[in-house]
Amino acid sequence: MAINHTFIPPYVRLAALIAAGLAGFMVMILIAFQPSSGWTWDVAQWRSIAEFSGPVWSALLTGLLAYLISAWIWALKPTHIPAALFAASGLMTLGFCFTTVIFDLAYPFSDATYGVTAQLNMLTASGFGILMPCLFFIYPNRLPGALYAIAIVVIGFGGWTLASVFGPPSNYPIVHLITFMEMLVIIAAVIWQIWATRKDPRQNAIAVWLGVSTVVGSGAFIALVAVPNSFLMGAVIKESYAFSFFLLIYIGLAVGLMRYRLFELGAWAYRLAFYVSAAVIMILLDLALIAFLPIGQSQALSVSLLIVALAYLPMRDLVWRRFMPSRSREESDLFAGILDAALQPSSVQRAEDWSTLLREHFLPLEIEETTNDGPTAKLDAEGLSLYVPPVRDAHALILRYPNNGQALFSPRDVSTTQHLVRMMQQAGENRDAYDRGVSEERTRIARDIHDNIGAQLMRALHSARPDRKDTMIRETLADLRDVINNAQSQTLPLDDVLADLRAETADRLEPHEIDLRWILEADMEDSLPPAMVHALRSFIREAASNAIKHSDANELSVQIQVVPANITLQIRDNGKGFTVDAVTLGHGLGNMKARIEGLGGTFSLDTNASGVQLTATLPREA
Amino acid sequence: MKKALIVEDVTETRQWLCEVTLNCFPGCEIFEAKNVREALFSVKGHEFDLALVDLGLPDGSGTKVVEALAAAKNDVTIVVATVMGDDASVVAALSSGANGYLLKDSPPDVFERQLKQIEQGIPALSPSIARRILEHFKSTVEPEEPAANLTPRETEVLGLIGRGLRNSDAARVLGLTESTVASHIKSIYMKLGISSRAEAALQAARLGLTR
Repeated sequence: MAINHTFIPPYVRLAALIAAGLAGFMVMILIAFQPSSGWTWDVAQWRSIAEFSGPVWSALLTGLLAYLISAWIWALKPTHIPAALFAASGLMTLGFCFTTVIFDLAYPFSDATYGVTAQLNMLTASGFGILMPCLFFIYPNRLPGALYAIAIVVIGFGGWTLASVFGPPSNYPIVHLITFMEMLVIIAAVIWQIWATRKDPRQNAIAVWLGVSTVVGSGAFIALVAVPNSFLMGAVIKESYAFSFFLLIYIGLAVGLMRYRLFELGAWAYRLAFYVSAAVIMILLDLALIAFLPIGQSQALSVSLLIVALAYLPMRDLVWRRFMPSRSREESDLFAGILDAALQPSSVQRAEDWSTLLREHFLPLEIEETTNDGPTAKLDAEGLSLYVPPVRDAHALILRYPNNGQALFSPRDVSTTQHLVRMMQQAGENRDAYDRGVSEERTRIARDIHDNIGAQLMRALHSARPDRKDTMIRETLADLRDVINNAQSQTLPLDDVLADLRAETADRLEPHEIDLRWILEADMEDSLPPAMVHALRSFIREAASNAIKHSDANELSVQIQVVPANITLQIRDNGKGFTVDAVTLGHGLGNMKARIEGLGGTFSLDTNASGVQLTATLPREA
Repeated sequence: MKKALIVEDVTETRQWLCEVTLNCFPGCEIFEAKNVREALFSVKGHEFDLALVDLGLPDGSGTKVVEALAAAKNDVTIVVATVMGDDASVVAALSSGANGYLLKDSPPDVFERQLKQIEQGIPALSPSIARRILEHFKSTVEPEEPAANLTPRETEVLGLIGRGLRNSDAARVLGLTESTVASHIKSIYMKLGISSRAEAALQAARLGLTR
């Protein structure tokens, strides 16, 4: 992976350009203060601000602002040709604004200086007029024959300008004629561009927006200054004031950036501007502090240092932290974020959370979906952007300008990303496994309901005797309660099952004045599969029903023996007994026998004059 | 003359409950409600001595009705009548003031006998509910109110009932009278209410809602 580490991130580029612009501006202000008597550092002799305020301020501020907006655009898109052309036009604006100011100052420049300044002024003014048509030949839509048009404009106007500047002396106002002619070409290029983009509403909107602000901005100047100067007596308004019309172009661009994503820039361009301005303001504050604290006077020095150390530095730090988010996510936060993202219920939310996580970690100015370019994360050549491979529901993403444009992506970021992708993948797979588990459990519960509840209800439905119907339905409801209360476990704890059975049986026997003797020999930690529980339960219930209905007994003894190999149940009453071939066997006892034998167990019935004894043995792990 | 409220959404079951209640308490005046709204309306207008409340009602949980009844009158007997109600919601109903609960699928004779017993202050407790209550107190870590803790005797009673012994069996095992066991159970119900409230208070304090 070739990474050019000497490449400058947009943040640094913009800060440097702003610093250069401000420095130039300060130098111009310093020159403006100089009196007509010559250069001096003595502030007392400087001109008062009132003497040069109007036109000088207007031209200087226009130049500075046009330059700053251009620097902003270029810092973000240094290789984008239309953006570069536009940015160059801003530099030209700075040039002709600042050079015009020279003629309004008191300081006695040499004639040579005036000459060079005038030449620079002509070159930059005409340069603006050459750059603008070139921009509209290729942006927003590259017009057919754009190269020829550019060549004609550059060679034609360039040649004319150079000839006027360096050729045989001519009078200065020739520049007004040149810029006027260039204005006509700008208007033609704008109209051509608007016409050419009429079928693409987005490009057309850009062409109209940028074209109209350019034509109005520079056209107003041409109409009020250049045209009257070339063809009439003199300018309608002072040239330096009229420069401010150019601001229309740059402000129009700043607005258009948001509305139409001019030069593919969006809201994030503003974020960068915000952070850089904050940094610049911070530095200016520092400078002001140094300038105004009376460091020279020794007795005040310690006080000043105290103020700086106790108040200013902590406050500055606080403000800086407040406005400058930086990468502060801990590994554990990242892990929690990944889990949150992976466990979101919908795939759209998962993808959204994933991109939020990346945004919060890398703080890129821009993040957008891209086409799948392989399963590994990678940097582009300059470290300006980072490719994040698609992971599960999330598309491949491209992240640009990390740390709010203050840094470049590093190989370490690539390995972090790779790590994050793996974690996301893993968490997603675990989630799938969990989902599968839930669905298996659901299937199990459904089967449980079908096999037990459904079958029992069916038996009740087809049972002819109303009292049996009732009993069966009651049993079914009890089983259903069991399914609900024990939905979480496949096997039921033996002691719980038997405890419930014991209480239920005692409750049923009590109104009939039958005592329950309950003898249990079992390991309480044991547990049983549902089929065994059902068999056990219906066996005891059936035996109790028989005792209640037929026995006239006053005691029922239930003996349960649970050993690892099997369960033995022995139920005995002390009633009058019955004959085995009675109808009862056809119903309850017959069912009981079938059920026990269906589970691989044995069933036996003993009846005599001193009572009935039922014995069943159920093998475990059948 | 008794006044009874029966809250149940299934018409057949409601009629059945009315019959059973009339059998138990002949001549008692019965008010019927088929949802929470109607029940709350009745509770506002009348003073009931007995209430049978279903938990799963179409417009909410019967627990709300239990709370309203408990708040309206001191000596009302509130019985939760449930069929599918899982143990957890029965415990919730008991902790909000119910005096006992019955399973609606019990045979009528069993149901009537248990209803009479609850009315006489002898609550019955099923093993699974007893186990659930024990778990509840175990998981409630040191509630601030000492009154919300079970005594060792109460824990013993719950443990025996949880293993399937009925009140009389438990009384025999512990060498107590049946009425003493019944009063232990009533006290457990009361503490269940207090401990739920204590738990709620604890939760509130932890969230910084109080002070």
